[in-house]
Amino acid sequence: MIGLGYRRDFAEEFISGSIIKPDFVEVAPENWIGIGGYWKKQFNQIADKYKIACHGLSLSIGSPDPLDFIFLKNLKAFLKEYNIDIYSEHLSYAKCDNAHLYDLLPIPFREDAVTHIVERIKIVQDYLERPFIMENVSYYTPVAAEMDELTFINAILEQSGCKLLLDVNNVYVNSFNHNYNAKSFIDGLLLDKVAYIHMAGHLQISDDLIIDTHGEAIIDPVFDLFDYTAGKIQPVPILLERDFNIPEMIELQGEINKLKAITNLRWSKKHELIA
Amino acid sequence: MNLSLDTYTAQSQLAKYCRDGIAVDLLGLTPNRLSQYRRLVFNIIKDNIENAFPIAYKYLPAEIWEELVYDFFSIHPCQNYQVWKLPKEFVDFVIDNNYAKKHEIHYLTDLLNFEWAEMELYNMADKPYNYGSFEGDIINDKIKFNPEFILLPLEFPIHIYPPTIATEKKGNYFVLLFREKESGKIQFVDLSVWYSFLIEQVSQNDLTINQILNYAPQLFSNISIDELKTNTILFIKSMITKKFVIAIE
Repeated sequence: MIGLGYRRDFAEEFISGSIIKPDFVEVAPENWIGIGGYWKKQFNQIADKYKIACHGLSLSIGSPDPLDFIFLKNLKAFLKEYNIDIYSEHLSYAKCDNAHLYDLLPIPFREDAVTHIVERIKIVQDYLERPFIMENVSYYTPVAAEMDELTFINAILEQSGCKLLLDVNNVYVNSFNHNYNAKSFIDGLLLDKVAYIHMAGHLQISDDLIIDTHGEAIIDPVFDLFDYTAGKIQPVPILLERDFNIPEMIELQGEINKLKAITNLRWSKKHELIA
Repeated sequence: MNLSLDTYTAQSQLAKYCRDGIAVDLLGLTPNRLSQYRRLVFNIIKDNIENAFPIAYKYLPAEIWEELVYDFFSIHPCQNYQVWKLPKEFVDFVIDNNYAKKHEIHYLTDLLNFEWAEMELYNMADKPYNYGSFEGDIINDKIKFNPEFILLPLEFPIHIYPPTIATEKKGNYFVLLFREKESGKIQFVDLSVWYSFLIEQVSQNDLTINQILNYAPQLFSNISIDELKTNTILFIKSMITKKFVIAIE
């Protein structure tokens, strides 16, 4: 299954399905919880037409601040209302000292942070009564790190029992920004934990820095890394992210088709949207 | 919390730097990369606020707008997990810190409240919508309104004029904003103090027009109740046409 991130900018295209034909759509629950009026009607049409996966923005699993149980309560009701099986979040933090920052800040790769996050993942999984899926994020500098990113991610996966949303573009971005081998990084992950994949474009802003913008087409080296990854894992749902600089719909469908062609070559089994 | 003080401090310092831009010395940083986080976070806040207040953004001097956004970003701890509700925190911040008075932009509070009201109404959760009949009598029976509305009192008529003109017309104004059920579009209706009072009393106290008319002499001197009654009936009929009045029973 190849899905596409749902954006209001091209809501009509999703509903008509004339050019864009994803197998499912992904939404950020924070953008839809408690929404009414025109957009609620649009969203209901989307939910009638497509299976929905949720990818959160504000849980802030790595935050020093307490978990927000009002948010979790609203989230749980939203997932139930729309019969959503997959809920994923970022392995980062977006709130600190009682202030939301609305972006993904890098967690210090440290043992105590692993323990902290593992405990919180277990709480969230218990509360939501579903497996939780954590995404490896792109980061532009390590902060107070005492271990490498790979050790950090694997420790959390192993100790929490959560699954991995493997963002292949983020692996590529991080390997470029921090000068490591992307394929070796993929090889080192607990690949049996991969439950979902994200693919996206990025923007290189200097000789040594790429920003994960979701605003460009996927480049060939990222497709190649995806192909490499697909050869090492069981079939899982794939999501194409495109948040800015939206191109003609036919270009997005072209990217979906390319991803589908790779998975058709690599995977014979069907991959359902179940966490 | 399982975090050590060192780890918490590193996270706290990074978050603080993103908001206030004051340099921090964190262990293991790649040189010149930390500023990317401040830029990315600030752009989210800035874009969100600009998109929520297109009129204020257009009419305020650029340096004042930047001051408001920068101050908000660095001083105010954003509370809502839904970024689309952030503009409400911005409105409260600007009011609480008296920016309208400081910069002598007298219409500022009204304009921000007005622009936020439109956004809030457009997005807010659906309310139970109890359709009924129009078989009742306008004066003596209960009138039901579309429940998705905001009644906004204003000092400056920024719902009628551009801010540069509205600022010369200080007075008592009332605007009704409501969301059309079918289309989700927002309608605006300029109201007199009487119709504003009437909508408030019907919606909050479930009074009939006849009961509300009893208060008219206390509100207006030398008022002709018969004339007011006639005009009120015409007003209610116009609001039926606009689909703000949804039943009279």
